[in-house]
Amino acid sequence: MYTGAVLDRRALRRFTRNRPALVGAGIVAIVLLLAIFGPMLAPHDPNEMHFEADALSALGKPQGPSAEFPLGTDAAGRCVLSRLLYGARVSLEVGIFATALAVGIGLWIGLLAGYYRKATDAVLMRFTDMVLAFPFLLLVITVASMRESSSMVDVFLVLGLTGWTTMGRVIRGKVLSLREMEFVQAARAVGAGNGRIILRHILPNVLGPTTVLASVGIAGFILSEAVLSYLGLGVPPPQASWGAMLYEGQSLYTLAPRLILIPGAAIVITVLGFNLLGEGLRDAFDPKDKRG
Amino acid sequence: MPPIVSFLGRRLAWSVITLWFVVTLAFLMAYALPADPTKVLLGPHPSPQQIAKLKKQLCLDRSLLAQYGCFVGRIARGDLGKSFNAKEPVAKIIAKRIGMTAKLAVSAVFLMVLIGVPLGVWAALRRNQMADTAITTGGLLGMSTPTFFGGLLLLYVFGFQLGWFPIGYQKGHELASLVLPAFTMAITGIAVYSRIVRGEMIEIMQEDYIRTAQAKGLSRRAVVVKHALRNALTPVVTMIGLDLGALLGGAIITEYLFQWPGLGREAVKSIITLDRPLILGTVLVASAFIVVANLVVDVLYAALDPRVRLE
Repeated sequence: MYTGAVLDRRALRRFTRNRPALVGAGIVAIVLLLAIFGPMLAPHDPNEMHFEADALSALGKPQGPSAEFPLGTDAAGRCVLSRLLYGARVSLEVGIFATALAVGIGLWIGLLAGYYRKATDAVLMRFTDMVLAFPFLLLVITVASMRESSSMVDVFLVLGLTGWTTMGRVIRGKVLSLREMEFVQAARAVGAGNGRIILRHILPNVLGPTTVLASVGIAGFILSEAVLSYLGLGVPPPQASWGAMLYEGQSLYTLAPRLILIPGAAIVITVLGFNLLGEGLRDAFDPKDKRG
Repeated sequence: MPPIVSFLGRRLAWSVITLWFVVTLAFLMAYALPADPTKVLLGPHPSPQQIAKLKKQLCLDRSLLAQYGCFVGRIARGDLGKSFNAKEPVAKIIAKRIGMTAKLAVSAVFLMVLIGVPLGVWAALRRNQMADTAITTGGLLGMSTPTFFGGLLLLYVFGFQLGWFPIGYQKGHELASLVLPAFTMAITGIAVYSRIVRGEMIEIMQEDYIRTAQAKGLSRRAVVVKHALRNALTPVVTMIGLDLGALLGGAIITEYLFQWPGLGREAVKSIITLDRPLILGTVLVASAFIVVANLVVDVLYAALDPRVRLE
């Protein structure tokens, strides 16, 4: 069984003594719980327009916080708190699935390029450079605008398929140094094949940096989803996502700044949580690396 | 062949191959768009002769592979085609917009360096003290803020509430219109630069040559500026090059939010209106900037740091 970097006791102790990392882990835990149980906690249906219940003023202006609507209502008379809770699920789902896809691609490209070096490395890394040179946001927007009916699956597919490059480069760097280590040479000396060396000896040792990249990756993809939704190309309306709430709220931001402040703060806090968690994990796995 | 020549040659060749890859991907992307160029360019009720002529001109009467060859050939000759909507050559539209984007990009990078680098140095010299904690936390917050949210906040506070700057681009008030979008674009960069400089400075201040400089009796300022900061700036030079390359292609979100008449806004407009030649043109120009920036940075890096091997 694997008992490498992730379960390292010393790493765990370093992590639990790192206050910012714990704050990050706490934020992530709370957001995860909200995403899972949000629909149960939400006071209203997130898409229901409450015209009768004083949700809008006589002039059609969204109402501020009240007992009925704790965070007020939006321009369509919908409960902001309920939309925020349902939106948490969308943001996290996109972030997690896109990261899973990006890790799946980046990890293997990094492992193969770093282990086999030479032509394999050259081809894979040049390919990575090419993907990096493509203006990714333009590609994402084009693909998004081509879809007949957008869905969340499209959003995370597009983000994951373009967002693996950093992952690939970092993992390759780690593998390049790992493959020269004594334990790898020992495995080779006793006759282990390439596949076995990669899976049993190298892979467990890059899982630490991979969790770091994944945590930072989720943060980045949540931002990207918000950007797409902000351009009106994210999850289809009326489904709530934090980016979509900002998009809908921006036309009224002078009248009701709350409509952009609430979803904006939700994005910043969540992304900050994942960034803090990722940084804490990196400090725990690699205490020598004091950078950043 | 001297190593520098073969290094440059190899890097240049890769840049060309990368651009070819981008052209191919852009072609496939545009091909998948559901728009019939003949209908868009000729308007309603064109004669069959007109359609045939245009199809021949754009190689639309041939196979996919032939269209691709035709497309690559035209681009190699510098012909980016005619915009569907503006009925103007794409190259002309891009030439018109690129100046505005360049102004914004250069201002933003200027702000990143001017604010980010001193903050990083300050944090490193006050390591683990109040100033350091404040700068590091602020940096993380900056990195976690979506560009458009930061921009909306700046718009609300400085544009709407205080009324210091125009809301969106205003003709005739270019400098005032520039401030908010430039700061919006710089938020993430300031955060990233300060973090990089801080990390580098902390590491460098522990090096032997810094101790030697201090032992020689040099002033703290001389040690920090002449010996430490000079070396800490190498990665920043790389970042400046890459950021400038990426931003010159058009900052889509910021330009869209502030209605800044640059390449990024043009790109979004072209996608929304399915203007195939304009999409391709903006994608190609943006990629070309990234590829050139990468090339320049690699060469600069080799020149700045003699330890970089020319392999």
